[in-house]
Amino acid sequence: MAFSPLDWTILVVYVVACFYAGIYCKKFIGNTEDFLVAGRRVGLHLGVATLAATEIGTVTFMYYSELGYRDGFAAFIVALLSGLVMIFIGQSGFMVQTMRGLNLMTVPEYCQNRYSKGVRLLAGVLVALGGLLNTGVFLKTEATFLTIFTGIPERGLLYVMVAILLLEMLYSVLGGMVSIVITDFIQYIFLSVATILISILTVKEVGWGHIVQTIRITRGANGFNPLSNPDLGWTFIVWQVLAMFASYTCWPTTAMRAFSMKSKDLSRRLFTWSGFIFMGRGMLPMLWGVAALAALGPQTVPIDAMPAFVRTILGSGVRGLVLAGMIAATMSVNSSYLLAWSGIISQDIIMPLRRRLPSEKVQVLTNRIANVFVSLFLLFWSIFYTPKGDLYMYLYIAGTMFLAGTFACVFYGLYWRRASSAGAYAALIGGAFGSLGNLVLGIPASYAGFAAFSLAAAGMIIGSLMWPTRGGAI
Amino acid sequence: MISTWELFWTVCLIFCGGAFAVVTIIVAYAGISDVVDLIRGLKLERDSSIDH
Repeated sequence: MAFSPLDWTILVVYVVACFYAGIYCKKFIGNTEDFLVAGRRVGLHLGVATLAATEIGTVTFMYYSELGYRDGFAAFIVALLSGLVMIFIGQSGFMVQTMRGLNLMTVPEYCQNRYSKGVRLLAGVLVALGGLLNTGVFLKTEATFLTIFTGIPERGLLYVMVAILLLEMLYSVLGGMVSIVITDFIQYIFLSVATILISILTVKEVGWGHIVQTIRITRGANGFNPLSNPDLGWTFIVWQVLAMFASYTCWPTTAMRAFSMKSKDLSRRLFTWSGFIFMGRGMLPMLWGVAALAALGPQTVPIDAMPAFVRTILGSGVRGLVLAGMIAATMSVNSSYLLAWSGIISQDIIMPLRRRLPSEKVQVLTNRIANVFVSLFLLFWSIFYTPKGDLYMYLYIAGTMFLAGTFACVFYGLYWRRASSAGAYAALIGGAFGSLGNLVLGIPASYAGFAAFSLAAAGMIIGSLMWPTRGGAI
Repeated sequence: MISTWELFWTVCLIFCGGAFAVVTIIVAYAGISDVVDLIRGLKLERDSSIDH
């Protein structure tokens, strides 16, 4: 079924409203703190909306549904763990509460406060590299979804994606975090309505009994039991738990949300509330993937199955709403990631290389210029690079390149007085090598990811014991 | 026959889907006042910096 004028009208009204809201916020940017962490004035509910919108994108729907299509209900373990880890962080205040209390703007900034400028620089380079490799595949994945879902030819879609990227770039360059949190709020409402609508229609159209029966026949016990499933298993689960703790405390977009909250207490509560959203964020798209298997059969390319399936269950009007939701998801993720990576390049690579810290005006300008270059890089990278294998594994292993080392630096820095600069360098290098084991040598992602965290921890402990430095935990 | 895992994931899906919807409704309702507070705070800060 083709898109009706009503569908396109809903979409255009939504995009114009978001763009206007984003541009409106430019006048509130006075300094770097306003630009990167919204002046630390974000309240609890707005914080939950912006964190959820940032971490729920079309790319999220694609990789989770791919997991659901491939592993059936057993994949739900990933969603369940992600929510539980987040709720644990919220309830205990693990790392995030202290980090928020230090008034940081980026995670590598902590590395300079605790260790040295060189550690911050190395962390900044690894974060930027791993982050760009991770985000570099977003546009192509989003384009795949939109091509299948709307039926627009691929060439036309490239122009649409470029237009969306330019819109996001414009409002994130001008209004920084203030624009992003406000547009995220609008975008979160759209994307969550779309998520709930698709999930209800999925069960209604395919039928719960048929979905379960399909998994029994095609996947057997491995479709339900994550421990016996050869794609998952204990090594994968332990790596995922480590990666989730690292990701929710040190992933730049998530950490910047915690740093933007009004107080330490609110930064904790942000995680508890978001934990419930994160369970649904994973499990509902996985359900779409499982239902796509039931509706389309096992012959479809896993990553293409969900958009092809969702297209068949939506009527006119609902399609426009869902498309607006998906565009919302795309825009909220991309704009936040643009700001995060450009913030890291500006604050943690360019600024430490300068002898004197420039004025606030120059710092904001540097952030904006970095944002433009990051946008251009992401556009070119997404055109020329296609990841091999599962998207979920690729994204996690690319992120692990910096997450394993950065997590070790922050965790040991906060909780172990003997953590030293030598240990921090060894942790960052060890973590990156573990991740490269998969990207370069082709070692299975779960083993490489597990190795990355082990090497980072070993590097930190051995390096700190062999070359101690004076000073204690901050 | 329904296995333990089937039952477990069914209950999880209902709980997690329901929690997603409920938290979304609360956030959408209460978030509006947070947006107003954020803009008001930034506006006050901007006006006071202009005055100085």
